[in-house]
Amino acid sequence: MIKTFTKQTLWLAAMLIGTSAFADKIKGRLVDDKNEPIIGATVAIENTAFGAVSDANGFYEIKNLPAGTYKLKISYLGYQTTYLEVLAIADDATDVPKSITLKEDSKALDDVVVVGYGTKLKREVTGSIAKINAKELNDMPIPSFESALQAKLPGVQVTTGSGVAGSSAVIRIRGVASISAGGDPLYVVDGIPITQDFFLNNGNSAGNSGGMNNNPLASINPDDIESIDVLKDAAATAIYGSRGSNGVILVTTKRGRKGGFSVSYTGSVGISRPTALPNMLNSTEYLQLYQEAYENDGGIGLAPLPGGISWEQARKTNTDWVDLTTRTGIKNTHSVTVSNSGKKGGIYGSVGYSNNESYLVGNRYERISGRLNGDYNLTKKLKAGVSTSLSQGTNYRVNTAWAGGLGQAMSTALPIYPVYDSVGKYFTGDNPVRTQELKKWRTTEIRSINNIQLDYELAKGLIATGKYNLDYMQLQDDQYDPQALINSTHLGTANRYATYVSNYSYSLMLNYRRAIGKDHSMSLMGAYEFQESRTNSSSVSSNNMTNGFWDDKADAAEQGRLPKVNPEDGYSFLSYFGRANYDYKKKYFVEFVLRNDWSTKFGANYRYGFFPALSATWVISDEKFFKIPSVSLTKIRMAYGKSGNANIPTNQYLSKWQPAGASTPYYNQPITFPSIIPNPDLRWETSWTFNAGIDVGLFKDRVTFTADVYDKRTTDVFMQLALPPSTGFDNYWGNVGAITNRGVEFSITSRNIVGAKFTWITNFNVSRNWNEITSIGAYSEDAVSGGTNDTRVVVGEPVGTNFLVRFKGIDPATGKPIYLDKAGNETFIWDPKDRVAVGNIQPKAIGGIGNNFRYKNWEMNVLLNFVLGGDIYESSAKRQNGVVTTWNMRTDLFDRWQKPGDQAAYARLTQNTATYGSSTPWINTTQWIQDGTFLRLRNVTVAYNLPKSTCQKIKLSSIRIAVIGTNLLTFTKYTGLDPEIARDFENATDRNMSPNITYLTPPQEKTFTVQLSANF
Amino acid sequence: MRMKKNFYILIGFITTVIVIGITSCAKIEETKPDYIFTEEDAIKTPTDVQNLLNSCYDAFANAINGRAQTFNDLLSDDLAKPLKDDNGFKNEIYNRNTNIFNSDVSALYKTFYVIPFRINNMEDFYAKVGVSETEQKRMRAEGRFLRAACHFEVLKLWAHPSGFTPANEHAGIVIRDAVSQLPKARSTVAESYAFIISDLEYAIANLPAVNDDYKASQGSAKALLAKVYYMMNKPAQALALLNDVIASSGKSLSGALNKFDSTAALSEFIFTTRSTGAGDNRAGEFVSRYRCDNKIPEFALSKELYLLLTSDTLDKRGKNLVQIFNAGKDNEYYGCKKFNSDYFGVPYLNMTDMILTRAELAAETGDLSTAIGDVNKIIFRAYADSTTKIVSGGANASDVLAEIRKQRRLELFCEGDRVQTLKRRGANNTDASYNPNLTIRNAPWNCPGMILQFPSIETGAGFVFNGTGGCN
Repeated sequence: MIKTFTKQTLWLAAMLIGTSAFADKIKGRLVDDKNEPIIGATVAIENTAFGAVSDANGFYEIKNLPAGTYKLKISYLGYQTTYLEVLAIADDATDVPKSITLKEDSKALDDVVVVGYGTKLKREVTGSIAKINAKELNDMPIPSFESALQAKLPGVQVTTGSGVAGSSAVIRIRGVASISAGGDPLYVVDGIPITQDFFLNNGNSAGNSGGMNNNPLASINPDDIESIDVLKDAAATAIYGSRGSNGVILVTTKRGRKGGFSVSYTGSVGISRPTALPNMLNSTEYLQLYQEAYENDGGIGLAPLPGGISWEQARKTNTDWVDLTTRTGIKNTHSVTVSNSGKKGGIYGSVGYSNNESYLVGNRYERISGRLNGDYNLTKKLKAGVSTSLSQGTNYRVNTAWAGGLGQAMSTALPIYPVYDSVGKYFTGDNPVRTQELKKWRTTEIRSINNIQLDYELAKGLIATGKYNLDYMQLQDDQYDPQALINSTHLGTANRYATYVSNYSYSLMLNYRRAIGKDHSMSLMGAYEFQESRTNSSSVSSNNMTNGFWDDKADAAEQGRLPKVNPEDGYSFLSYFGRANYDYKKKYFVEFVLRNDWSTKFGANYRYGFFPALSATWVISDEKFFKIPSVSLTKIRMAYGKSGNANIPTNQYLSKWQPAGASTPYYNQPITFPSIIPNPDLRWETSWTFNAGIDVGLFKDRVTFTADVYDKRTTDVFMQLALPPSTGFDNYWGNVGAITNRGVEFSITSRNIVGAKFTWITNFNVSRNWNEITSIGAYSEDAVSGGTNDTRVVVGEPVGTNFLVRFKGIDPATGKPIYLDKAGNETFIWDPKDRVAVGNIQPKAIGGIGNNFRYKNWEMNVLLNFVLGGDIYESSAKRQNGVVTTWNMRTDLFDRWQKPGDQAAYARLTQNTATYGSSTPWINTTQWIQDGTFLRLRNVTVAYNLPKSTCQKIKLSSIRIAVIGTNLLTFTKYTGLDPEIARDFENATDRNMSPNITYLTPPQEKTFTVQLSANF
Repeated sequence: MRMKKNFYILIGFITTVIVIGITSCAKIEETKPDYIFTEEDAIKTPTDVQNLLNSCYDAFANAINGRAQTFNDLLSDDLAKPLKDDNGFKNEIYNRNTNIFNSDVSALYKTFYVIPFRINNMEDFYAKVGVSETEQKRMRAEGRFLRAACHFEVLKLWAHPSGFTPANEHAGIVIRDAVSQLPKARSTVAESYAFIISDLEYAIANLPAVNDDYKASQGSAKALLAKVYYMMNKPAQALALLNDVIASSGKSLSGALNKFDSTAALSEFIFTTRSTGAGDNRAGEFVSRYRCDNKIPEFALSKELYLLLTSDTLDKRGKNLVQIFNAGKDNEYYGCKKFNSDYFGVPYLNMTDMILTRAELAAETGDLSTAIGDVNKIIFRAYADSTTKIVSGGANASDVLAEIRKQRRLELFCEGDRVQTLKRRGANNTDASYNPNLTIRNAPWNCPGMILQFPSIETGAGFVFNGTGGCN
């Protein structure tokens, strides 16, 4: 009351003196709770340029301040930011306290972290969890939200998909622990383990054509995401039991924010270009080298040219196919969100639209999405929460990689081939332009993720929760090849492959939290959950269409064709799990987790399993004996536990037989026979993980770092074995292998400069993982291979190591390639029997460096990511720079052997595979392995926040304009297109085993974007 | 009061969890989808086990539909370089340079081993579905016959012949005598032959004396065992069996020059596969590769064989079974006309082979009378003339043996016989005409590439691959 009176009196005085009067200065002293001075704290007057920094004794002084009411903002790292409304009038008269005590900010430990089936304070976390928030997630344009994790979190390796629109990133958390099972982390959106099958339509005959698999995560709007928490060790993942061993990515979507009604808009426009272009030969160069190969092989006269092209025609043609299949893609994204909250609850809604053209002609990904999340307190004890989202992602696809497009421009589309023939019709040989312009292909994904949750407080600290989730996904692949493309006598061919996945779950959970006395507290959680996923698929095709099935206006009769419906497939999980936590004085924390999973994916002998984890944390810096002034926080974590992986196709434990009557009888005798024997012992992969970590804050948390070491031993690794043919059957799913992943992770955040006007924060993270296959049972390296790639499972080597014949060099006398046999002897014969494990596909280190600068209203963010070491196998180079066939070649071949004595990088040109000691042009050798080290300027953002006063004039609360560039520079010795590779994988095994293989893979994209964000 | 209410709510909540949990448990247990046909669905009665045995005959027919025979002949001197070879794998065989990624070779290898797997799998079902003891013996014996045949064919193609090393301790093949998904090391050639012999002895003891010619009988098991002993260079054992088969099997040499031009069974078929129509042709590989009356064949005869077949114009084989195309031109080739039909069976064991084998073994062991008698039956059929071309009783032993071997080649060309008899001769140091330096199309009979390479995925702990190439 007295304070109010004083303020009013002073204000009145100020009014009387007039607005031109100056208060001259306001001053005071900043101290901590021990009355020690706080040095270097910023004292700023909001919305003005006035400010000061406290001196060595904690004193500050702001001079020449006009009289008025101000909001004083006092901030210093490690202390809570303090706001103070003050009145200043002439002659230093203010109501500013002489001494202000700043409270220590324990925020570093009081952040809320999302854990499996709940949340915790960071202080309580005993496992290894990394977090990224909405701001970091949306600081650059990304094809899909998972790409935003790149270079920001230690131990999380993100290989962004190629430049193909909507492509998926490959994420590996602490290395690969699987061979044939899906090695991707489990994605959980608002508590729902979502459908994340990258090969969903493959089983429906749609195949993986087009060079990039479908990305089931692309239809989720990144703007809707509040935070992503990555669970890395067993303490964190054991609560997900048989599905947690490859890590868990928890996605939390936005909900109604405190602070009342708000509307915001974010929009961006940008362009896309490839990060690199191939160095293919032009027509003159091609003819010269082709003729040279012919003559080297003893040919006389002019070589017969491929494609029925005459030399005269060839000399007149010089088609730049790379130029014709690439372009500058235009991107635009728009998102409007509405948020409101009050005492009774809150609501969040959004609509988004994005049209993402890639640099590949004809390729774009369009997404329309909407979300509504609401929370409402029905009674004092009963709370309801609802989330629903609906999105449609349409991928307008083009052939890429081995299937055509740019891939064809780098291979079979020769510069001597024209786009059009002499009468103006498409050249019907290898012509990616013709294919791109005539073929119509699009994949449409409709996805809806929903949940409803009820929380009821049964007693103080005891809350019962019931939850129902539904993730529905519909993926439809439509392809249309018109008559002009397939040169048929009938009309065009249309194919539609549709897959529908209903993935639902429900859970009932009890949470109990209680403090016992002053020093003890405990919490218990017990839950039951059932999840079922059902997949239905169908396909329909017609050879009598003038358009694709998606066009309702045409081909009415054909539209009515009945699709071929495949049998329903599905799986279920039934789980009981619980978590017990205890802490003493908020310094010692212990957690025990136990999950019991039942799954229909496994054999009768192993249908259920237990997954326990024990972990503990000690906040050692809270101990009295811990007296290191510069160390503000030290927290030690330790965890050991078990988790599993169940990401395999269904029904693999069953025997499979051909019924009598289903096959042609043998001489009228019915036949029945087995194709796969049963495996009643089929069970989940098991990972036992030890993790030790330390979280440290220095100089009042001005510098914080986290370091972790881990040792993850995975046994019963799924291997879809290509069995020895003498067994009499083909493939067999068995728990055969063992893999060890050991690693270290380190991340540091340093608030280098934190001032009123200028702030500079640096983030750095680096991690190293040692991956090693320790067993493949009795099987050979060839028992599992990475699709069409020469990567194999070799004991003592990492998953997917290259298994190749060694290339020694080019013989100067003959120009032939020299290989090494298994014993290391030189030979001119390429014999795959001489293959050995070569190179090292494991990076020595991966990481990222981010620098965020803020000067007044300007911001600049610079993010670099790096991969140190890790070999790349450039599989297509063996055709581009190997035996001369119907492929175009690269200018690399200018350094070839031409005469005896030449010291050359490449062998004498030949069309005869025998010259290279082989009967095939597909000669995989170490000649095509390269070091994949790179440093990339991943992102540069320059942003300007309009002053508040300006915003207020146009009735907005904030406006931010940003210019963003991604993948601007890459420093590497790699001579292929782009050292960051995620190729077109054939299946989960290939995805695990061939991350380092490139085969006509489109490079990453370089983008430039202008972004506008406005809050109303 | 409130506490009590909350207690009831809690009890209700826990009860709900239990009830729902139990209901869900049932869903977890009932997992097998209807569309998957499992062992339990397939094998319920003795008839189902018979159907499984039928599938072994079916699979065997698909392995010897010309594939095994053409791969043998590609290694020999009977064929020219393939006229057509889309994937290059046939040329690798022809060049005696197959590698671990030759998928044609892998496919044949696997096809043979499908049969032992099924035969071994049958053992799991006899008692389970109540197959009678008698029927068990019969089925097992038929199975052992097929299992032996498969191992024998694999042994001939993937291992050096008996005699390559003195005690046959060189690497043989993988023996599959039980169902297993695990890799296995190769047995020695001696062990491989011992296994094959043991299977065939069981078959002889338990097979019916008479059976349809597309099913195993005592006669067919004896005929096969005779061939096994022939390849092992054990003339006494082979001759005893051959005498038995020729005298007592109820089969006789037919008058037909070509065993492959008819869908009808010939009197000389001891064991044959059967085709029921062009869409069910169990000799498809022969037709695809050799047929030359309506297309350019993929495989053609070597000029040397063609000239040998046609040098005597009275020999009806040269007239009826081969043909020159594009004579005198750059693209001249020599077609094999044995397989110019839409469909037919493959007489895996036949009297022509038995008689020629007995003739050769008899000549090698000094029984010229039997040798001459047998070879003259073949010559008579080829010439339809008993006076001008038959071997006279006064011929010397080496001439008789040479003539028998010549007749064997002229009779059995394109049937996969030639390379094995040549290798046998190279390894047979008890033969008077033994030539350790024997070559086959200018390559030593025992060069590494003269046998096929194993598929890459066959390997496991202790498995040893064959050598590669080294023949050219």
